[in-house]
Amino acid sequence: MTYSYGLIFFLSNLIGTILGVLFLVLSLHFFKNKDSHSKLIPIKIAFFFLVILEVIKIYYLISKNGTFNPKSYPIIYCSSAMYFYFIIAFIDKDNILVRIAKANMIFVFIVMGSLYYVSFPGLENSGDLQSLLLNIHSRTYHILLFYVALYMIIVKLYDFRFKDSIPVGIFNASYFTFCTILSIFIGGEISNFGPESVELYWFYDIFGYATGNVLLGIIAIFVSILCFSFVKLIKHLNKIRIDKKSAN
Amino acid sequence: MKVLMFNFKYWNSIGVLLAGIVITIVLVVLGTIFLKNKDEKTKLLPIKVCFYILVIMEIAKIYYLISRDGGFNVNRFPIVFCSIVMYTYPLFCFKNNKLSDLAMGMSVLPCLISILFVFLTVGDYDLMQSGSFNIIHFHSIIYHLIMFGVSLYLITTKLYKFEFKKSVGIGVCLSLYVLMATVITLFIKGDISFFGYGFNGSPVFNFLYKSIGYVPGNLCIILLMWILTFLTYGLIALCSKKKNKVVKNEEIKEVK
Amino acid sequence: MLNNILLVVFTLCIPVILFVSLYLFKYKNLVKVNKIIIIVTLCLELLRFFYNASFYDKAKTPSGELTFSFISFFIVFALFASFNKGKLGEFFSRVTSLTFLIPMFFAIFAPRVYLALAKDEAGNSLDIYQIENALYFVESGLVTTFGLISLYLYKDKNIKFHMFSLLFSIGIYTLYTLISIGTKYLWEINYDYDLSFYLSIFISLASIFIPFVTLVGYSLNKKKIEG
Repeated sequence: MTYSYGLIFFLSNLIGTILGVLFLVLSLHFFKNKDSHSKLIPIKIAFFFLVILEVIKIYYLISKNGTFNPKSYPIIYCSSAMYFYFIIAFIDKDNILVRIAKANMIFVFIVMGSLYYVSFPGLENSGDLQSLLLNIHSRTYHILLFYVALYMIIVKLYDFRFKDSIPVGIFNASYFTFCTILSIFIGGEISNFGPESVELYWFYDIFGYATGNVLLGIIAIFVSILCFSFVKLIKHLNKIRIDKKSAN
Repeated sequence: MKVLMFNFKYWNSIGVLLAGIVITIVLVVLGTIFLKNKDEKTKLLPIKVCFYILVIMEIAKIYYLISRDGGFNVNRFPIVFCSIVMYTYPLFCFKNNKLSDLAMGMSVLPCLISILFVFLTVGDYDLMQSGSFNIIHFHSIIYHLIMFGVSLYLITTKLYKFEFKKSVGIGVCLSLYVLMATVITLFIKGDISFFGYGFNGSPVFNFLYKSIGYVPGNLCIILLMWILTFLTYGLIALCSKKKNKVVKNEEIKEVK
Repeated sequence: MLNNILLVVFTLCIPVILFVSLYLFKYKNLVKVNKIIIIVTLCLELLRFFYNASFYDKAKTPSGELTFSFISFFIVFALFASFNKGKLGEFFSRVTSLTFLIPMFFAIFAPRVYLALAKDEAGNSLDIYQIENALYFVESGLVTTFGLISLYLYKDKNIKFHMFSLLFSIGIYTLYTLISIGTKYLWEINYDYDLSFYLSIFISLASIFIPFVTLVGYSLNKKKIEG
């Protein structure tokens, strides 16, 4: 039986949305007005859920193909969600690592999660059951990240500070550097940032592989500053509006 | 009249090394006697002079090699084990700082041991290579003699005091050096000091690399260095403890 | 044979060097030392994994190379033990204090866990500098140091505590063995289930009793002294 793009798109979006909405509604119902420690429980649940899904996926791929492809290593950009959820949920301190984790989870995955609703298709589709299952896993994963980011915004888990933009940008830049070095060291492709990347080949053709990744790092820092500036502007405008209201 | 002594054809390298060691010991003993009652700053003066001599000789050697070979082979960089003294001497002979004690320690025990390795390999030296005087081998002998002399000097003038606690720093520095040499050798496929592998062949450790592998072999060398350092410092600390105990007992007897 | 001797030498010498250094500097914060040791061990393990992957074309590693040895699981347990202050951390701390000798004993009887299996067409090993061996030897030493420090931190507990720790450790190791055998079956790895395989499991289980007996002996001795 072959599975068409349309079926995969519909099924995976449906499953992802159902899970995401369930998570958001239940978490807000039980944990919205609790103390800051209890508000982390949904993040812990999300962490264990994502890890179990990832382990099942890796097991399935190795038993099917007999090899472990570097593209399946849990060090692609979106796997950082698992590690960041761990940091947010289990390190109950207000240090720079936790702040980078929270900021990255909100800013990056609001955008990436919502992109997955509209991107068509997410992964390559060869029409077989393996493609169907991998696509469902991928979309469910990314859409869930979107809803967790929404939860973190509503419950105010992240205390916005403009100066966090630089560490977040630097983290993303170092991630690209790490991918470059690792890809060259092991000769395999890490995430979408390997030398034979399907998404970024046009960029690497213009600038070269290593230079391209360094440029991406610099762009990441600028984008991070831009996003934080945008949020700060909105907060500032909101504050002016509230001050005017109270003055009247 | 022919003075056979100045005809290098009759010298072999081991003979030169042995003669040089005797001269070095004599100079060290003389230096210790003359500077016995001076302050620390004056005692460090000969080491400053030696440091400048080593650096000038090294720069001259680099210039000579570039002009001779038209390039500079990576394994001629001053990162071999014996070049460590060019980095440790300035740390303690110019201004006292946090690393002075460690630098002095690295200039004493490892340098004394490295003279053994020089003995093992000096047989390959040929001072009269193809009829002309081999200045590189001569430079190497003088360099190692100065290193040996300074390490003896530091012990005899009591500028460096052996304490068991200092052995840890020495062990860490030696381990880091061997690790660095291993990593550089693997990356550039060139030999660093005696810790190279197969490219020119390590003259000393080849038997170890062939039997247990290159990286495990270097790890074994690190382990041996730790054991030697602990043993040396431990024995010296034990002897000085016993000596202090004997002196104390005699003082107590005198008081009684 | 030489590799096994080196493994034992490094496993025993690295803790000695670290403990002598700590004693000389009178450094007493052993919990911090454990944290540093396990982070260093984690970096070495990741390096070993990626180095092994680099042997294969485009790093597509065959499933036979991926049945993770106990040391990888030990490192995860030790991370929880060091950084988690709750019940989970305590549980894994008790397990790591008794299972730290398993990586060494298992590897003696099943050298497959640390020897690089990748070979070229002529049948020569691709790991010509034996880097995987070296990394495993150092990791084994560091893991033993971690276990000994955890053992020291639990030395004053009562015998009931140690009995439960023993049960937890045997349970975790049995679970690991079952997962390992199940994985080999599921991934269709034609593993040679010979005497050395069964011996390695049995001896590793028995090695849990060495630290256990030490702790119980210390508790009994302390009781005797106190009266």
